[in-house]
Amino acid sequence: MNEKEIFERIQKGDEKALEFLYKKYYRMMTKLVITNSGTEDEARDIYQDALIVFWQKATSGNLVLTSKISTYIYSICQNLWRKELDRKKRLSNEEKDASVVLDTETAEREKIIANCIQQLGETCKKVLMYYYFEEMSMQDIADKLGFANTDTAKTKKYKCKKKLDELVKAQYSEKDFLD
Amino acid sequence: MATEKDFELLDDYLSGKLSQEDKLAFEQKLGSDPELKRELEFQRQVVKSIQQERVKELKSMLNQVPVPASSGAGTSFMAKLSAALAVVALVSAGIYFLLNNEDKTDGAQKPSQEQVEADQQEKPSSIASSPSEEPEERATEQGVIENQEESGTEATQPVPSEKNQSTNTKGQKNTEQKESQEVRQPALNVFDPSDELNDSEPEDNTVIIQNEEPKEKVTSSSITVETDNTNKKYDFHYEFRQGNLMLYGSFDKKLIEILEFFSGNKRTIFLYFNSNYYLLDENQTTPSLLKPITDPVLLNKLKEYRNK
Repeated sequence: MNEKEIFERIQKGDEKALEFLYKKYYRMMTKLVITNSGTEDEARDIYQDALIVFWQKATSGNLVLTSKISTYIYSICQNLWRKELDRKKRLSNEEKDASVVLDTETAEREKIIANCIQQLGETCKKVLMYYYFEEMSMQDIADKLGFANTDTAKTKKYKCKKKLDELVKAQYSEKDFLD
Repeated sequence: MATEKDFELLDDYLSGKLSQEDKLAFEQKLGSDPELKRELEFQRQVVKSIQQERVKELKSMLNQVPVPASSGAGTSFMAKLSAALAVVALVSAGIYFLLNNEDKTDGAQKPSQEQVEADQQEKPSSIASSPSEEPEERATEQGVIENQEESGTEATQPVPSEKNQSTNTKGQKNTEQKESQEVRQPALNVFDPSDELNDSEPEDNTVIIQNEEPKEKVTSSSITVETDNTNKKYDFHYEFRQGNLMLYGSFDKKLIEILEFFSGNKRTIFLYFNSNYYLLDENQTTPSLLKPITDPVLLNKLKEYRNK
């Protein structure tokens, strides 16, 4: 696969192409973090995050590639790692307990929604993820999930979202989250 | 409860798909409709969670992908060494390195490319605390893995051609001229390591040699490297002595990489040291000052190849 093919496949939301890239640049990108006082785990984490940023931008059609893919991902890695180092520095400067005030209610809500998402059928889940995360076009979603046309994809997305909303709201009212 | 129309509106508002006009109208409506506002916050949470779940899913997918051997071992191995010298020989078959003296097109391209070059260089150096550290570790790690294979391949490498040797007699001035011409040749794109980058795996061999003392001999590459930092007269010079590379100057503390490109029976050698690339002329038998390569096109290619 050449650069152009990979990018086109990524734009279409082809996970296999993403895995290919991941493997291809693994050493190069993790090295960046490891040689800048990061651990192996941090390096993998940063690289994965960077790759996913690239993926999201590409699938949503918001990325016009003007450099090599590796150059682009490398620069995201640098930014993410710099941010992480800053965050660590701040954390060690401040009193640790002061900064770790977790919003328990938000966390609780997030957990509920995550649960409800997992209760959806596989297709529903995918439609919503492709629509809200990858921001793929209805055409690409239809192609990928084998829907007849964009209208089917739109209807599917609407119904799945409604179902999820209902699931979450039902859970919320149980926990008195709804006013 | 939100109607389907409201729902679509909310959705589009959240994903920033509304036109400026519609957006303003919607925000006005939000201000006067607390229920709609609550619904918006709810939708925001749900969408955020969908995105987070997708990231988790992608990450666990990536975690299933087998990746190249851990680099942690290489790093700690490195730490134990007092790190002086590393020689990397990149052997690439089938690269056509044409001896072509046309360089008319260079001048015109240079300014803009140099600009690009400068931009690209800025970023990596700002984060890498010590530029020489990274390649050193990378090189070692490759060496550890590929060490067993290298000796066999090295032995079969062609020696410099007769034609090259003949320039020997021409004195230093001529040789220098020849050098500057050679530097420009790759700008013609006849030699393109990046092609190899895109193909699965180029045939290269990485050789790492470690020595404790600067004067000690470094072996097992097709090129033997010695360094000498005692010579007052030559502080950044090189020469080839019976096929061995002699480096004069304070090279001992930093990484030295030798990049060899093979094309047929011709060999072209580059030196990488302290973020600069230098072309080495094998017929240079008197100490000659090392001059960094400045041609941006060639630099880019070398860099790409080296960072592979």
